[in-house]
Amino acid sequence: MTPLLEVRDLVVRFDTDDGTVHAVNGISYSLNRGESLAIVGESGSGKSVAAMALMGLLPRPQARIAGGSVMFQGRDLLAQTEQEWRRTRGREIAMVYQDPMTSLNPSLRIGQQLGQVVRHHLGLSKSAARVRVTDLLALVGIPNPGGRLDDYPHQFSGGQRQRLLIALALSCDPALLIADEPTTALDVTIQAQMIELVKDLREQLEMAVVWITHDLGVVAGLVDKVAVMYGGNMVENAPVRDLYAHPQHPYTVGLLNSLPTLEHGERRLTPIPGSPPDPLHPSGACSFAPRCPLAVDRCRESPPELVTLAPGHSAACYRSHDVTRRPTLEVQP
Amino acid sequence: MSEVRLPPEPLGGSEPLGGPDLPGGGDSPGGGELAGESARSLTAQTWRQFRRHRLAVGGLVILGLLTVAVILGPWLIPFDPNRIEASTANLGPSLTHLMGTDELGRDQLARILVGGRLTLSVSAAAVLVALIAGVAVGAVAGYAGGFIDNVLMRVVDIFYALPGLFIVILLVALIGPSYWTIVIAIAVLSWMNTARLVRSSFLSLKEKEFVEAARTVGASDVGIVVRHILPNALSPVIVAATLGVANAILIESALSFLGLGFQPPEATWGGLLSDAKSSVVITGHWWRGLFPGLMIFITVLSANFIGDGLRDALDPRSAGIKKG
Repeated sequence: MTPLLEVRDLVVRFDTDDGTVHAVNGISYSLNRGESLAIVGESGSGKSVAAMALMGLLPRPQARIAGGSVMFQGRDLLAQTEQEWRRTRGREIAMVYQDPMTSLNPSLRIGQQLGQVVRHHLGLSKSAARVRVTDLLALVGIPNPGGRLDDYPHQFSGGQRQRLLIALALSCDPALLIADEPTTALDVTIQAQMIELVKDLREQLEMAVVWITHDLGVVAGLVDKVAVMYGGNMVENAPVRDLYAHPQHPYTVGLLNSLPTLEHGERRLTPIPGSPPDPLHPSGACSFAPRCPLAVDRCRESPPELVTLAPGHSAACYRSHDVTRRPTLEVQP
Repeated sequence: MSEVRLPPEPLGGSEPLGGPDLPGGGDSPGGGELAGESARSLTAQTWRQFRRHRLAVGGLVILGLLTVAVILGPWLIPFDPNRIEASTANLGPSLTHLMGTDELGRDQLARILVGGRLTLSVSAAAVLVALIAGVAVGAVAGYAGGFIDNVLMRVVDIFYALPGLFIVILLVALIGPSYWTIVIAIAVLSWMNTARLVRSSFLSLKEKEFVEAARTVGASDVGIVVRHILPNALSPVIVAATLGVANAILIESALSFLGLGFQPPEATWGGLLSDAKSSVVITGHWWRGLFPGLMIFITVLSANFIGDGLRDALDPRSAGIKKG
């Protein structure tokens, strides 16, 4: 069975006045129908750029896809014309955005805003679109959906607006949903609700989900696979359990160590020292080497390739066998 | 604004949520009322908002009365606005001539009513033309950006920099001072403001997430501009348009002053005002200046109040909020 989505060696560059920004440097992953993947990384790691490339919405003319392919349902998305993209976006691949407060048009009623999408893609009549939108609002748990169609976005709470965005994304039964940090702008109780909602909907609608986040804690119970990005590179790619149990890249360990846990009482969180690499001037070596506690000379000379270490688990590190979950010695309580 | 539901509601299989397990204490205590209100049409809701703005309603009433007066008035007044009558020259306001007469003995009320027809229709037409041109140029420049934006904005700069009256003189000299020449002349002098306003709104709005979100669901460029950006960019345009009415009246009077506006004996408010200059200053016939000036003042003020009220009413964020 061919995967739903197969990204091969995707390279994205930004041409700026200061030089070329190496935003994404050859990442690869695949996703089956109904499967879910989290792309984890800190700000500037290229995770959002990689997602925008899937939507064909990289800012032009600055951004350019310098290599690789994105196969979706057997066709190459990167070869699509703008016309074809317009049929793909929203219909087959949909996206949920970070900020629910600004992602809805303040001057359009919810019924129209969602309705025009289903009318555009599914060719529904005005009244059929209204019925469809009412169903969608009910699906994402908006109380009294029929009575809220003519409300404006500002008449909904923050959590409800995020639900509306999810409804908007789901409106045409996409095969793939991209969620770009959909919970960062929400408080924790609503975050938990959103995560549950997306999880339930994914099972119900059999969608594949790409969940982009900087928070490893969020994705633990949510996805099947995790890809960790650092400085535009994919440094580790693993099934979610493997990643938490046996991280094979020092950066992943760093991320895990900077999460609060319940196990160790008042353990101080361990930050990763240093700052992210400059995408304008790639070092030509392992991009994490300057911050890595395990770095050796080899790491500073040539970049490590992504190597498969176990079924479905690969990491780009020369010293992956020396990586342990907690490299820092801890005082047990 | 936050929801107080604690447990994330489970989504039961295919059964959509919504029934009896809806939590109380949602975010809006008046939820039912809101839903009822918002079921009305957009126009009804805008009108309801607009009515709350007393000055705007007052402005609308006055402008409405003025419009009716200038349309019907000339038939009801027993004086011909253009008939020269030496015996009634330079009379002050009286019961017969409510606004007095001019040096040729013409009844000023009749001239103001007839002049109002021209002034109001020319200003409205000129504002409309300027608005269409300004919105089109501003929208294209702001949305396209880059080279196109640069070219269009330099055109705007050129129009700002050119001595406007020179162009108008040229235009009027070449075509002659007809109704539409004057409309176009006023529009040519005033569309740039709208273009800049619309462009700057577009520049910020096109970066908004909801525009990006519209793109992710497959909206086209035209759809994004018309449905998503333009409605959100309209408030400053409406304000600009109401100010434009005032401006158009003033430009028209400037043209009349230069002899490039409507030619005598046609009357306009601006023309009446400029005709009155020497009478007021030299002979002290205050009524010659007061009444045309008052008409311009009242019209401009009303237009501004209406614009104010419209801006509040059209802003969806103010809908459903009880004011004072």
